[in-house]
Amino acid sequence: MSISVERIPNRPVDSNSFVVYEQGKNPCIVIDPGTEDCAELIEFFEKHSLTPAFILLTHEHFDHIWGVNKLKETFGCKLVCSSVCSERIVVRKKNMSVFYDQVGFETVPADIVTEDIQNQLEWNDLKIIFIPTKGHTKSGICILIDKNLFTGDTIIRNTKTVIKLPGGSKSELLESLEALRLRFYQKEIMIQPGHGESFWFDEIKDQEFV
Amino acid sequence: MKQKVINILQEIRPEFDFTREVNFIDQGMLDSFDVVSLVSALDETFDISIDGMDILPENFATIDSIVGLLVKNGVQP
Repeated sequence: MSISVERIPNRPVDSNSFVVYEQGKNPCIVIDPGTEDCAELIEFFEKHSLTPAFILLTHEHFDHIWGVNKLKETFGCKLVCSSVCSERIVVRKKNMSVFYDQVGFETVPADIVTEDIQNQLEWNDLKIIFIPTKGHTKSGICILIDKNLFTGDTIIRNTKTVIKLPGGSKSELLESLEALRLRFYQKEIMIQPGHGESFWFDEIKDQEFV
Repeated sequence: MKQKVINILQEIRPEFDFTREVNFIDQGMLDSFDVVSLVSALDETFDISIDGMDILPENFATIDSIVGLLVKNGVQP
């Protein structure tokens, strides 16, 4: 099976959302929808005759979740994230949105928490694997779909990972990066990060991020 | 209360002396990430919930302004 990955930058914060889909099949996956009205995502769905079946979140921060309510209201898709993420997206201080505009927003909680499904989800004929990666936040997960690793804010090219927000930890980040390195080095994995362009896993050096 | 606030600030940015009477924001002693940590710590320590509309740099710029915010939230000085 050949999957396609479309990166659609969010706004007003330039985080990344992604659509993962298979040519000729209708149900798709959305990762980190961070634009409130999801206009660009919905335009993409219409253009490619797609319907989102699942929303997957890498972590709880507002610039990665702002479109969750809109997508769920419009398409009734299932929201999947870690249990800590699910607890934090429903509180505007914990999802950080109140620090952005003083008002903030809350989303609905997850329909499925990754721990309850042993960090695996079947989609079409593919297995989606959720890899807990604390460091940027306690809720962090990287999401492996085929040869694509969606890293959220755990790994962003040429950027030190932010560890000073609540739940951040340098030692946990180092552990997470080492686990990822052991698992994915020389495996031709493409990193799809939470901000900026995609790049090969083997291009990274841990010290870039810490 | 003042000492508790100083302790919290010191924990967030141990490299700075928060007993100095300077503007913490203007002096770069607290950035926006630190304010997030500070609000979380103040909420937890004093069992309050600082309103979003009060999350303004000037409310975290000095010990007195932080104490003022705490008093506004019902914390006894």
